[in-house]
Amino acid sequence: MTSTGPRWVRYASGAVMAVVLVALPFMFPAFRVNQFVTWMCLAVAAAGLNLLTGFNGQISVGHGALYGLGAYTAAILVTDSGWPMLATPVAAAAVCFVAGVVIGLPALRIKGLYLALVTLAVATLFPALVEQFSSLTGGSSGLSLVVPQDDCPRGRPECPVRWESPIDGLASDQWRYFVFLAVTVVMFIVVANIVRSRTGRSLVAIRDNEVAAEASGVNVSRAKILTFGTSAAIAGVGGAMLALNNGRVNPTSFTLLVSIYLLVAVVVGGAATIVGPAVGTVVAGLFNDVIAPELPGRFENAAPVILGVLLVIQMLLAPNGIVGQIRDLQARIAARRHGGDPGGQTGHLATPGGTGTEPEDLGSASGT
Amino acid sequence: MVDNVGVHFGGVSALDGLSFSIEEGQLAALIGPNGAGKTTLFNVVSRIYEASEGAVTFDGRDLLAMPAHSIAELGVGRTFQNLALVPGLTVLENVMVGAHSRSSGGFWSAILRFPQAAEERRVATRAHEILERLSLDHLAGRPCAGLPYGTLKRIEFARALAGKPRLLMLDEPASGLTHGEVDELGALIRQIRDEFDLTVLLVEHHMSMVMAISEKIVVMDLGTKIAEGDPAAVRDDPAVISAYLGAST
Ligand SMILES: Nc1ncnc2c1ncn2[C@@H]1O[C@H](COP(=O)(O)OP(=O)(O)O)[C@@H](O)[C@H]1O
Ligand SMILES: [Mg+2]
Repeated sequence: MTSTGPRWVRYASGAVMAVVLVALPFMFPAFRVNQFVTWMCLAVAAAGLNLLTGFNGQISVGHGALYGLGAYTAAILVTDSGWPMLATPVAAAAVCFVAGVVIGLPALRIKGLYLALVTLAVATLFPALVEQFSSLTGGSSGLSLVVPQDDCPRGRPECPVRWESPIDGLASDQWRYFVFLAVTVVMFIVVANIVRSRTGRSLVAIRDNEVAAEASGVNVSRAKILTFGTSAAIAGVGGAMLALNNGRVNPTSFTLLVSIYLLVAVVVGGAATIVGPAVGTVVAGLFNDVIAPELPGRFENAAPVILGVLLVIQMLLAPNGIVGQIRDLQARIAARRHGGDPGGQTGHLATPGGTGTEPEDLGSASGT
Repeated sequence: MVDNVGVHFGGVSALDGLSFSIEEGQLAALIGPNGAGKTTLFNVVSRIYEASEGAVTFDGRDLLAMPAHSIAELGVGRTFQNLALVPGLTVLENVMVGAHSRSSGGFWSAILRFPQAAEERRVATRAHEILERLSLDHLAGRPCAGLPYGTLKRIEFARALAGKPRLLMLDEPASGLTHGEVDELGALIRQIRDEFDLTVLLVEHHMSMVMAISEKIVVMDLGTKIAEGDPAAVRDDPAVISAYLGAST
């Protein structure tokens, strides 16, 4: 929202990021490239959660379930209904939007910790629901995506999802990487566009000061519900991506842990920043997929503990997340250059729940 | 406009049968000791508090039948006694939020961005104009956090103006200002009223300012009206004098 540093810094960092993203699949073996794609799916879901929790201040511990709902929607549509693969994220978004609106309804009455509890219930319920509807979902054994293809081995009409590269010299893992990167970038642009609009401003206003938002004409209930739905829809797209990437879905992939993982990604990367969720997902992914497996045997089981300790350290050193911290730093440098005072800690968007100006008119307004 | 309004918190009556009216274009002041119920009345009009009885009519419409978010659209803007800015947004964005009821665009068109581009520019331009008018435009890109209290009150003033109100309710706009600044603000409120064609309802404790700029004064104490009239009449009203003396001891 606010300009983050001089324009050339933004362009330069954007260009560097683009180069790195394009170069990555050529620098790593296929299994790593595949991991990167998994991170993209999570990053999209985290971006959806960030819209709700970071920008709108509604905490959800249930986005793992919406991620899962998106994945199952895609899997079922591809396998049972023969949908073209790249159409399924759209359907997943629609289904998850509706689910998000329904889950968001209680959010009109409850906030904060209580809302977290309701969404927590959704997260814990999801795997059980999958088992319940096992004829559709394959129950605990999961569901493998199969698509009709002309060239399936042994003359069968259907076979598992494949990502055949149409470009010479581009391996299938690299091709898939770029397809998913494109979807991911689109989803982040979607979030950025929402945030930088009239709607986005009203979401932040609701987060920081509901009474003021309402007095300015924002229909707070409507905005909260729509945010819940939109956030769920984006998480659903992430889930659909995961299903298409893995070629199968399992209830164990969408436990409460995933919900927490998404929250961690948002907080570590920087809540209420655009690229924060992506950065957070990469950091968490690096730890889980790259560093943790390298830990000496003795420490293997300690990985979650180590991650927890790192999280605590981060909360102490950079409570606004990595991106939030960088932005604060830039703001401070800019303020110093302009000779003004740095304006204390620059509030910006990076403080879900809102600091300071609560609508005290509501409290014991003794008035002075 | 305000007819027999009552608000009760438990056993406490914050407003009790309050009635008064102000005319279009008037600059009216609502005064009274702390706890008289002035802010409560604003909150009733904004639909933050539910009135247990009475009616508030604006432009022939019963405001108490409207949802809170429609009040701005009907043309009633306000500022808050204890600041209600959005710290997560810049000064400019805060003022743009104030224009919410005077602009359009939801999630769908936001995703595509271009359908809203012209509207965004229009709203931003107007927000800049208002900030300029209130000598705040140099702060447009700054986050609200860390700015002085008096400046923040003025930003709220700008935000309220961005909603193109016809009735503007100002809750203690001069708090935190020095004497010179108070006089300046009084003159500014009067000018803004003329330029923006406003009706103003002002709550303020700085009596010099109230007496200097108001055309009508309503005096409240303990949730009821104790006097009403032009500044000269109210100043000499024995009930007012005793309420103020009583409150200050
Ligand atoms: N939300 C509330 N809950 C309980 N009492 C309240 C509330 N808001 C205001 N009051 C009471 O209503 C009375 C009027 O308060 P207020 O309208 O803030 O006065 P003023 O703005 O004139 O100083 C006070 O006695 C105050 O304590
Ligand atoms: Mg008050």
